[in-house]
Amino acid sequence: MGCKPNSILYTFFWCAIFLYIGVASAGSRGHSDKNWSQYRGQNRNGVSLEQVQLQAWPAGGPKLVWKRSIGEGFSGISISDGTGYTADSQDSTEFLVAFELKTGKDLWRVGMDKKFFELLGNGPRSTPTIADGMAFGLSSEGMLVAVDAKNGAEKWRVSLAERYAGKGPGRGYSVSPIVDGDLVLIEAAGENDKAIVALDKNTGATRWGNHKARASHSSPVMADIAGYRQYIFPTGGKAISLNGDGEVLWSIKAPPGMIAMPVFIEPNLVFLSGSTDNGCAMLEITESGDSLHAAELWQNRMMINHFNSSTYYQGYIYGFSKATLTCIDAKTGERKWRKRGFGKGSLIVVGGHLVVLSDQGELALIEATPEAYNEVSLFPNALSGKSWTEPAFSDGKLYLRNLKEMVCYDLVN
Amino acid sequence: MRGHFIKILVFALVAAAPAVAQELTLDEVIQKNIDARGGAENWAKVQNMKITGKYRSFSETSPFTVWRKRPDLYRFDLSMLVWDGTICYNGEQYWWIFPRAGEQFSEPSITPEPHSHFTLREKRFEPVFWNYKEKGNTVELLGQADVDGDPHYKLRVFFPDSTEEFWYLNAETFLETKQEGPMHDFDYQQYMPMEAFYSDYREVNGIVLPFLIEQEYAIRYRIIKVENVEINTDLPDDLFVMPKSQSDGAKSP
Repeated sequence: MGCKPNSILYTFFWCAIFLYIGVASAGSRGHSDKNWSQYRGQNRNGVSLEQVQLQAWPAGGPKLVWKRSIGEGFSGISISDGTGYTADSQDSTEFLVAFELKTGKDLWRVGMDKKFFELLGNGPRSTPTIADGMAFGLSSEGMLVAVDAKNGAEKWRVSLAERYAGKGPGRGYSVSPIVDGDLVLIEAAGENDKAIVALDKNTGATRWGNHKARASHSSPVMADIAGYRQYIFPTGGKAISLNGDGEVLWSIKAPPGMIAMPVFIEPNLVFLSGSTDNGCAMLEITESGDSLHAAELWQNRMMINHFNSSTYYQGYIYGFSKATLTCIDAKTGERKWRKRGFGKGSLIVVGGHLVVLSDQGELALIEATPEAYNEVSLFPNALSGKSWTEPAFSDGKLYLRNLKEMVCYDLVN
Repeated sequence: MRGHFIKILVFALVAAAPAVAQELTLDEVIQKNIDARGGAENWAKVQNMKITGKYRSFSETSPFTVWRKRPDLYRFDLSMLVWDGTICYNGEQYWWIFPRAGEQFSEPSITPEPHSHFTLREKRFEPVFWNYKEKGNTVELLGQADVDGDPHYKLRVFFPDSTEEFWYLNAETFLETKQEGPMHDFDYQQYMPMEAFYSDYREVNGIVLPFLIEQEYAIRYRIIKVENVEINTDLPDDLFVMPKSQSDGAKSP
């Protein structure tokens, strides 16, 4: 049986198309995989997209690339297209800051607002979001600032307090904005159905507002469920899901005292954890007719996140239940293991490992497995002093900060 | 046949092991705890102790000093954010002072109920289940329980005020590992379930003390790391007396 020439050409054509798509998507993914462009990473879930092999560190810890001082603030670190971003405070001002990834040196800094003073730590709490060449920062007093990510040139600024009569929570505006398409979505904690607002990314104009609720400290998460793009805000004792037009898709009672961010688990689960002894809950979002419905799959006290969020990885949820590093089964909520000693730490997942930062600046590398707590490496002095900000990871480098210093470690070489 | 017999013997021994451990009575478990903590004789020699170290709360670390004097005098000095002051029991009254925590606490004052509950528990000179009948408490041995993968004896302690605590004693060392009980939080204004973990036991002058204590309730997490213990030091009673005003001497000696 011979091959027809046009059959060979046909096969070659589709092979070429598939090859091109494969290379193109790999290239695209390879580029974005190195970004950590918003709170909790590229997908806002604390999981690095990079395929890296992490190994045990030498006795002196991972290789230090640089260390620098930084102004007070709990803001996380975002990384996009080779530049780092965070927010800090100096003298009496809170700044949105861009820094060079190789050296840690400031590239630019833009004053956002007056400095926030608070018993547990001063300065900005919100993590900048970087999208489409713009950087978006939020001050503790609710000043939302949009700048050119390259040079810090200001595009617009909006006071959530002034425009929406917003009243931030007791410890200051802490939520990190979502930027999707031409919208910037943020909990404004405003009056007149402006608890949640969407602004035009390019102009700062209000596109819509919805919901009545007092301010929370919990950042929203974005999800695609059953074909619905949605933004899930835990606020006012509820988890409320809105679409891009500001319409409520579903809402459900949330565990009390939510500060941690919801965890979206594809295709249709949402994990919520409160900071009180009521614990956590797993929601299942299902489509019924033309609407979505949220129902609680299980609820228990096995994971009680305080201010840092849990991370889902391969069927299991890893996080700090109060001050104990804990692994639970996402299907059942059953606890698999727990380990004390990291205080109110934080964690991300990189290359199949948990990268854990203790609240005193100890850094640990732990296998991300439900089998047992398997510590690969422990480095006691990654940061000095109270360290509540989650790590960020990009291009093999780990970025950490606390209220006074910022460091970069090479975890790959 | 011989192999079969050995299998049965091994099975019988394994099956019997927990039962053997379970057969200890409450009094035997408590006696083993007393022995593990240095023995009643050594504890009887201890009239007072001064404990210093680091106290961590809100992830901030600062120094603390605790003085204890028989039968139950207690003073805790700490420096933590604005909570820079003293919590004390003078044998009759609970009092406190936090000069930087606002007008309400700027002068020494009687600690109101239920805030004094914290001091009520902390002022214990010895483990709560020792001589429990003399103290008016009731204790039950609830059997074995798991703590961090290790078998423990679980004790329930009932207090005259109708509260209760659970204590977990390691089945091998008979040292206390974990405590569960109510904690009244100042901010929450309510009782909340509390877990405390005791570890890093060390011998000091013949008695054995935990040098690491972790307390966890609601979103609170406190770590007490003991650095030094002085036994039978010069400890005058007036250290525990509530001063009339801040300038009247509520400061550490």
